[in-house]
Amino acid sequence: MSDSQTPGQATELRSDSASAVLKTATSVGDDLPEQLSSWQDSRQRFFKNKTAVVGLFILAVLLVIAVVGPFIYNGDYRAARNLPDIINGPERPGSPYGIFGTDSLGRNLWHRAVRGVGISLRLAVVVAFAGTILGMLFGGLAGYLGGWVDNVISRIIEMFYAIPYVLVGIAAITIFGPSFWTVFFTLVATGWLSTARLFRASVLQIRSQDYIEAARSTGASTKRVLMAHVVPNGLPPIIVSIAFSISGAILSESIYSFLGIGFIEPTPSLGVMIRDARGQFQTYPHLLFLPGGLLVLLTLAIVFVGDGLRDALDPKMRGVD
Amino acid sequence: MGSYLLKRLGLTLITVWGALTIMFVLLIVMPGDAVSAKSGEKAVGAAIENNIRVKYGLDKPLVVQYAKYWENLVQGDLGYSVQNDKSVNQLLSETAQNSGRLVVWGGIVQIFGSLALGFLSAARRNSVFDRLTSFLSIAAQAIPVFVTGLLFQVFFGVIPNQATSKFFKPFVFYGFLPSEWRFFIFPKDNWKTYVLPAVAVGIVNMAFLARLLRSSMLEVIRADYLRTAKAKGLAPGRVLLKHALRNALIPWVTAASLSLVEIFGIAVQTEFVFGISGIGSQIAESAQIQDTAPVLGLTSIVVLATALTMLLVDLSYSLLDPRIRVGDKAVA
Repeated sequence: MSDSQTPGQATELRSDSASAVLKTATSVGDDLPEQLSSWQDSRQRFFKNKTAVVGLFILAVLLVIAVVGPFIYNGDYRAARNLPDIINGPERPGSPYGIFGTDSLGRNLWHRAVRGVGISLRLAVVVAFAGTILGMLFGGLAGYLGGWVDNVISRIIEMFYAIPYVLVGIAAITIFGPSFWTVFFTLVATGWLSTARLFRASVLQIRSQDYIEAARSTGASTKRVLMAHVVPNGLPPIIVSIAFSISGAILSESIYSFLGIGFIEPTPSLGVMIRDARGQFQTYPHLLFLPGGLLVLLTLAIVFVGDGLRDALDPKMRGVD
Repeated sequence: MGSYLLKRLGLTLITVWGALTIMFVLLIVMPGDAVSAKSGEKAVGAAIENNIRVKYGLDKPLVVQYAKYWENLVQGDLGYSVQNDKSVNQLLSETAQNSGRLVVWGGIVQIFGSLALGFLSAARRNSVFDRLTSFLSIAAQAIPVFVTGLLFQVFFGVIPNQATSKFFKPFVFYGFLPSEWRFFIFPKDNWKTYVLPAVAVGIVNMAFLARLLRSSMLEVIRADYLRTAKAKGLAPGRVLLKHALRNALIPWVTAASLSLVEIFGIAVQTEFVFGISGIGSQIAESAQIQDTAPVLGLTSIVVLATALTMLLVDLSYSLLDPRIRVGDKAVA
């Protein structure tokens, strides 16, 4: 949202920021923007972005809940409580069996949701990093080497793009059965494509820059050119794409689980819980609202952070506010 | 132009071949086949098992099956669904219409919605409307389509219908919320059943496209020629429509046409949420009971449709922007 900020609003935001250090740094930045390194500048602009900071805060809270929660609520979140509970149907929120009520098997909804957030986050972070490394490797190779390598890699990416990723997931998960690692490999297999495309494009652009030519002419090896020049300069868009990969992986996992081919009962994934709610939300909307709300909150927070990162790392936005 | 067309056509064929081969290999590795799809959990005798295999051509070596698959596909034969005892072509004819409508209407919502929202929020920059659309755009990208779909059902179907609650009663009475809205979910009139699913499909990329249009319009608005247009006294509305929008449309067209490709994947999920019997829900259903033929056959259709859309996008692009042809680097 910060691309819409007029100078007037920027000042308003700045006066809001509580940190004295930030204020000093900002005033220095106002007078002499050139003195800041680009990373310092980006960090400042990130923390001036209200939406991004809110996103970061929500994310931090959810992270604490997901990490600490399972130690506090260590009851059995998988097994049904007992028969009478099942016959009576789900408890509504505020019942003695749980603040957010119970599901149709009498299990505490909040306990399950806490674990669901943990599962989503854990899976998504691992997937995003694996996918990013794979994408950078292939995208970088394609962009830097060009020629037939580029052709082959680009064709493979196009082939995967021609199959809607949900269908790849359906096929893969049906084959190997629903487990953490199946979902992991499926998400990586479909997730590296966009990173590869992105990194290929930025490597193509960097490769034609004069400083690469200069480095080469001073006798730098290919490895050195790659590690010292190409990778650091192509990194900012990748950092942004990691954030979006994480939210994308959370969404994809929940989609697979919702369709009944990702995690399955009794694993308390958010997607599984929403699937569970599908038949009953007309009478018991809380079954949908808790896992659905947490899922939305989680992805929204990450997207806010990613959006803030994108604006903060974009050199074109530098000095705008 | 001729050689460019041939080249794109060749690349599309390679893409289709590769994508379908990936799917074929994936589905062949699948543990279940016609036998388990037919018999379920029950154990069947070796002779019966063998008969089933022979009937569906599964006794032949993989290479032969692969060749047969392509031979049939070229002739328009998609295979035979063991579970339904129907040909996949028949399944397709039952489901394609529903999916097609969903995709088309979703596309229309997405294109026109993003044009309107993007233009208005750039024209009324920093207004409440602009901020609201910005926020909703980010939100729409972060919310999975099945949650949107279920929420739509709650707010437009369930709640107005349980209008014993005091809050909604007056609305229903005064006709703000027609009481028949539940028929969006439980079909009565045909077209009404497509409103919510189409909006759910369209909203995902509509948000992203509206944001793109907004930011590229804001960029154009700062340009010198726009100041010139204003300075020579053109009406503000005319400046925005004729000059700003037209130039800002170029990046939007790229993104919009690419997003049309994604719509097939989004439609798959939406069908499942709204209980529409379309291609996507049929694939998911068949995959769960490991009935391979419909999965492969219907996926082939989706892949073909996707590849065809990609090709059309590329070609229309080269007509609009001749540089792509000359540069010969078709990075769409």
